[in-house]
Amino acid sequence: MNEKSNTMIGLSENGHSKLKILKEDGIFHEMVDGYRAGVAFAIASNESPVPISGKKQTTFSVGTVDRKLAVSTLVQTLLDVDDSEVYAIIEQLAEIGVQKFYHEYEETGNIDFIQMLKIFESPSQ
Amino acid sequence: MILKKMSLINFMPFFGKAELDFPTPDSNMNVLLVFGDNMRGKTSLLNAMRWCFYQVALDRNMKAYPWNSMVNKVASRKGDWTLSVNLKFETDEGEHELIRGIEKRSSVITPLKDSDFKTSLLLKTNGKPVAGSEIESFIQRLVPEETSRFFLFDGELLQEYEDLLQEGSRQGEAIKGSIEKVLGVPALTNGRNELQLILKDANRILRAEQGKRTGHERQLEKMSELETLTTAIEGDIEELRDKLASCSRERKEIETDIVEVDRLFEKKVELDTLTNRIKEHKTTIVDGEAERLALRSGLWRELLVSKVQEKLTSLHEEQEALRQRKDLNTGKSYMLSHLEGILEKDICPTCDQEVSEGHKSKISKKLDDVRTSLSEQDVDGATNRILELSRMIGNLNDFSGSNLAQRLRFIENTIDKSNIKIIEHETKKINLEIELESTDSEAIKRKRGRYKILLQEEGRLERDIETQSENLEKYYSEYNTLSELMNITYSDKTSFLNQKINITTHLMNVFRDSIAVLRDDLKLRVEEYASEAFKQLTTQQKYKGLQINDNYGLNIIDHRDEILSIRSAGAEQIVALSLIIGLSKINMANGPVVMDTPFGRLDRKHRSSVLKYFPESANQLILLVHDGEVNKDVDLDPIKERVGLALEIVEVEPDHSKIVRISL
Repeated sequence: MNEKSNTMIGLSENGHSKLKILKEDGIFHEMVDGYRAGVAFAIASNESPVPISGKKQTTFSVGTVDRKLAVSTLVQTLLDVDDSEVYAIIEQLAEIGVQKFYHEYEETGNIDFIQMLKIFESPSQ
Repeated sequence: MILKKMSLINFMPFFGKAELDFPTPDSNMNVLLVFGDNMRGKTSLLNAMRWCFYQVALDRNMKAYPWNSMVNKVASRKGDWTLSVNLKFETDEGEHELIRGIEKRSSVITPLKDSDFKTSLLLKTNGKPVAGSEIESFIQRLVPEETSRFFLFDGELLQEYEDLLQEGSRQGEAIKGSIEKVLGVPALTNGRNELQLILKDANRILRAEQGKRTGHERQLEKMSELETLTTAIEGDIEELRDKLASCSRERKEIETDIVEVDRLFEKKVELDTLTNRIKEHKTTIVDGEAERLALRSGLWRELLVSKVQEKLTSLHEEQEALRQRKDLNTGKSYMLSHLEGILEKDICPTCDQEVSEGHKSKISKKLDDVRTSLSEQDVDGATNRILELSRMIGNLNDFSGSNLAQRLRFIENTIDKSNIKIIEHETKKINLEIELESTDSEAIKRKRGRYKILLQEEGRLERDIETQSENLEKYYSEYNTLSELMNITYSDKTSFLNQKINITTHLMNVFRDSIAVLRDDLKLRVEEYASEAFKQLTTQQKYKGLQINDNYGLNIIDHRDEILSIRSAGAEQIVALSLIIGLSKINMANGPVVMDTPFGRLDRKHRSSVLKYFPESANQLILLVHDGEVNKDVDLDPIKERVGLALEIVEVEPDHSKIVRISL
């Protein structure tokens, strides 16, 4: 798995711009926080990863997002993903999550993470 | 005057409407008792009456309350800046209803000074409105403001009556003036002054006539000189009085400003406190936001807690199922080797006997079944899967949440609360800043200095007026002597003028003597009534009574007919109350008396004597008391049968009191 840490990962250009706005508007301290939260949100919402459409913008080194391989291990374990495709899946999940976050932010001017956590507290979700 | 009913709207601690009825004096039950703890509004009831009559409410320092501070705080916070007092009462002229109120001007947002309010005054007599221009003079005639201290009586201010014993004290002089007004002395003084003017006028005409004759040139010249002199002195006195009035006016204005300044200083402190609180709340928000952002870096873990638990459960279940299957296979393998051993040796391992052909056939069949069952199982694959599952479980077991939601919720609440507080404080701050904008600390210092100068100036002017008045009196006397002399000398066609002068001079003498006689007489009567009251009120039987001084101050005379040199605080209060009763009996026997906290310094025996005697001293007695000075359970026996109505002022919430009826 060490090989994977040299890889760069990111989002679509559109997703990248939206994540940047979320960071600049103080929703996340760093873009990587929003990126990881996007992955987790997509998994928790049972979203199916789909290939990213449009131009991609790589932003993070895998080492930044996947410190101690915590994210990739989790994704592999939870979604039964192959070693080889785990970061592609992570990118797709992050894209879904970031798009959802931005949508809520645009609609309400905020993201209610407390409510979000409450929804995902129940294992049935 | 008989008080009937008083209604208040938003007056001081009384939010909305508050009403109280007064007991009728024709029955024997002429006492209204109003109980109330400190700060509930007893003095406000006294002030409500004062306000209704004189458009002023006074604090313990006898300073007028700014009007904006009089409007009930609950009402003003809701934007209602109206206040009014409605007083119904009866006199010989009939039934009256007096309504005085203030209302914030529509152009003003938050009233800061009295001029930010518009006032209204209405008087109805027997149901008919009285012309506005006549209302104040009606009030002045009925209950002159100068005498109000004797029927709107604040027990907390009894101390100032001690000043009456000190000759020349400023406060004593002021009270003396009030007492003389109550007793009617100024009527005589004014009469004498009017006559002096008539006399002077007649003399001037007469002198013109006499000037045509010879032989009395020197007297005439002297009279002319005296006329010029007295006119000049009269002018001087007039001028001094104008100066004094202007001085007093300016001092009172500054006094109000100084009170305002003290109030503003408190506001400044409040403003600083608010600024600090806003700063603290802003820091809380900044810290909260930083912590919230930091916590959001761990949000992804928290979002997956349920998913991980769910996955762990399914992995454990799968692992368990595989383990059970593995155990089953182990059993089958054992059975396989056992059966193979039997067939190989043809001996039963249990009974050591040869195995029959029939049994061998059955064992062979069983062996085939077990071999088939075992060949269908991927034993190695299952073992590998169990190992993989253990690894996956291990991965997930390392994953944990951190109660992030709870912490985030706490931070969100803290930030929300701080934001609300900041808005509240900012709003208050803006109002305070507007109030403080016009405050100039240098101007305040200058005003304090000017206040002192004006006080001294007033004293000087008062002394000058007194000196000039004495001079005038002396010159008048000289002039009158000359005038009498001239009148005797001439008795021709000027006889009409002579007669006029004669009568006027005599009348003036009568008035002059009467003033002294009246003063002496009144003092004796005050002394007599006050002594009578004192003997009833005091529990010390060896005191003979009271002796009055020129200032209407009262000394206690002991059993050796000597003035008591040292008096206790309680004795002072009894003396002061005796004076009030004495004055009431002379002048206001038909009026109500409102007494606020009158028993502060009295012991129980004195309180009992006072309560017993008070109802006799006025036609209506309104007592505003607190539990500390009158205990409902033990102190009211002497007065119980005289109480027409008992009320209590109770607190509904801070800044909101109401009046409730109680039974004794």
